[in-house]
Amino acid sequence: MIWNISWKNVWRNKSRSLIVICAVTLGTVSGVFVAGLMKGWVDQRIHAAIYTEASHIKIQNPEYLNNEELKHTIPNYEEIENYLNNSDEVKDWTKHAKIVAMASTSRGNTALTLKGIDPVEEKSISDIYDFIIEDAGDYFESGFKNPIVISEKTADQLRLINYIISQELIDSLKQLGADEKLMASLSTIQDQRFITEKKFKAELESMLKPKQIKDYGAYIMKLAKNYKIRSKVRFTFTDIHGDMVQKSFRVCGIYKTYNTMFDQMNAFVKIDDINAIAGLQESDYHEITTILNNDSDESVKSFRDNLNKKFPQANIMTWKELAPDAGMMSDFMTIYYYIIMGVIFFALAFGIINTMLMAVLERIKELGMLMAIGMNKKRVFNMIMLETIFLTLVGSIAGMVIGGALIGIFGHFGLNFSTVQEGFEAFGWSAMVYPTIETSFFLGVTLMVIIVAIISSIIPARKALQLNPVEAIRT
Amino acid sequence: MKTTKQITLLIILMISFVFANAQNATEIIKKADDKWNGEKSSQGTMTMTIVRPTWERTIQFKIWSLEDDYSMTLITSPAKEKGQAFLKRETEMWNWVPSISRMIKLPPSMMSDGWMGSDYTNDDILKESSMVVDFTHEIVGSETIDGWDCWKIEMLPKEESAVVWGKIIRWVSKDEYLMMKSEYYDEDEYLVKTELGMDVKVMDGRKIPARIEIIPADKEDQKTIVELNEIKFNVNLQNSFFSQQNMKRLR
Repeated sequence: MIWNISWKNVWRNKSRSLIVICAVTLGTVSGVFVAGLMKGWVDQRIHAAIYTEASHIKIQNPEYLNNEELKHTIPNYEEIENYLNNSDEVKDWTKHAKIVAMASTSRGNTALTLKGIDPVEEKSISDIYDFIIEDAGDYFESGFKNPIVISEKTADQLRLINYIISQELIDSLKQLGADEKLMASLSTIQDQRFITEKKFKAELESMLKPKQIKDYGAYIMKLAKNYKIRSKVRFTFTDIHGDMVQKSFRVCGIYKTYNTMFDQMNAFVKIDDINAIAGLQESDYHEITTILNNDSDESVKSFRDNLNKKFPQANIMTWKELAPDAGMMSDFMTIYYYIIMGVIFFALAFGIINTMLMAVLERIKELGMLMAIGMNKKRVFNMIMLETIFLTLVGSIAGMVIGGALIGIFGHFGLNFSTVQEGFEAFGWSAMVYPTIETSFFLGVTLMVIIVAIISSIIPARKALQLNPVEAIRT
Repeated sequence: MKTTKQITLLIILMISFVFANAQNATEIIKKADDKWNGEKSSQGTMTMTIVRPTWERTIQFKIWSLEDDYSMTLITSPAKEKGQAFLKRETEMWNWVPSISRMIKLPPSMMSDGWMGSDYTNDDILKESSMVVDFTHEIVGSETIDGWDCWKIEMLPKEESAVVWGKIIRWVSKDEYLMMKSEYYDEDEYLVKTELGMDVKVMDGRKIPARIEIIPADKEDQKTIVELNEIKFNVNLQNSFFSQQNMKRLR
């Protein structure tokens, strides 16, 4: 009975109700979408943290964490190997040798960590092979000696990315219908090599008109870019005895992940190529990375604790400890979504209060009449409260449907933030975001809406309860 | 019969000439290398001028060296860096900084940095890669540099060697075996830097270029000039002279 009256009351003043409903809808859409965006982002970061960078569990020598010296290899390696092979919790595992080295070419140099890996085993642990740039080599597939996979960032620092205007580029521009003038000015620097992006850009800017740059600039940059695969990179490092050694590798592939910091620090070589020169023995490894069958927080933690008990002399860390930013985000995110929703609903609550107050003040005479014919205070209160709940619930359900649909669409196609890419990737966040949301979030939002409605109905309802039926009827 | 003999002789001569030539190129580089690295030991003073587009500075230092493996360098000017010493023992390099009383072992990461901010890298000084062992040499012609008749020798790094250059072309004078000019190329055969030997003088009974200029190819208005003020060869130096303790005592 009361439900019925409340529902009908909502629609008595359609335009006013619709305005509030629209406000709530928009608020919910934006809240849900922002939450979806954040979740998509965090999920991608966590996925990258585990499956590209750190893996679920990493085993190291505790000394190695303090001092990255070659001699700090994993203690009792054979026992750990045995344990991992026999454990049914472990999906896959692999081992690395790590050497901090100085890379140099004839034009540039940079410091990085050489990771000695077994390319076949590594593929089941880390998806780095997926990040090899198109036209920039492959993941240890070409058969030359001493191959190395470096990041685009490193290649840039070592000046292994050139820009050349080739005949093909000019031909393809011709096919695109670029005008003769552009072609003529480009052909003046044909086959000239630019070793930095900056120099090439400067040359283009000095030569071409702003309009030409706007139309073809990005296209020219993309086609002129030339990764120098098979170039020699010389590495200098101290071996296990503390002596300085040098070795050359040839670039076989160039990768780029979303995490510039990771890219800057890591280069991959075959473990057999560095073990001997670094003076490492068989079973001398610096880290073991594992992927577990069950990736829930609890099982990762309990596996870590088990390992810790069995091998107290080794340092064992979960991905949350290895990539604390991602770990923190994953723990904090759920609360964060609700904080966002909370802020939005807090603002909306004032609008709702205002509308309901108006609805009550408008109906003083009617409310007085209802009370006079014997409707008790509890019922009046319930009626107004239900009215508020209906009003906001309609809005928020519409909002969740629209928000959910938006997340579905953008989750499929992805949202591109490439204009601010550099800033994002410096923190390890992808510039391409695929929003996603958990169904439990919608339940949470519904609950929040009801609570907000109840709270914001208190003031209008109190106003109604304070009415004196006799006076109210006479107004 | 006579003609066949002559032809055989000619062929033998040609073959031996080709071999001799190949032999020669390596030999020439080796002799030039030995010349520059002194005989058994050397002691001298040098001035290094670093020229940059907006500034220029001059560093003076004393240098002692014994064979290929040991050398000691002591900065004598400017006052700010005075007393700093560098010790090279085989493949290791140490730096004594008196202003903070610290001995620093130069890590691999500093090897590619310029020595004292110059165009000389620490690596050039350490000479991990040997001009003789790590390259194949070939005489590709002869040219006149600065009035000296020179062999033009092309040096290509061996596949496994840890050399960053794609190619080095070196001009070595036909008499005296002086290194008059070297051009360093990257793997795409673009010039990276040029090293010039100038101002040939007689010093301690030997003819050597007293001035060396290093000019990076793609950096305008940049170069490093090293001038040899004084040098003595075959001085009496012991292995024990090249010690960390001695670095701190040098004047």
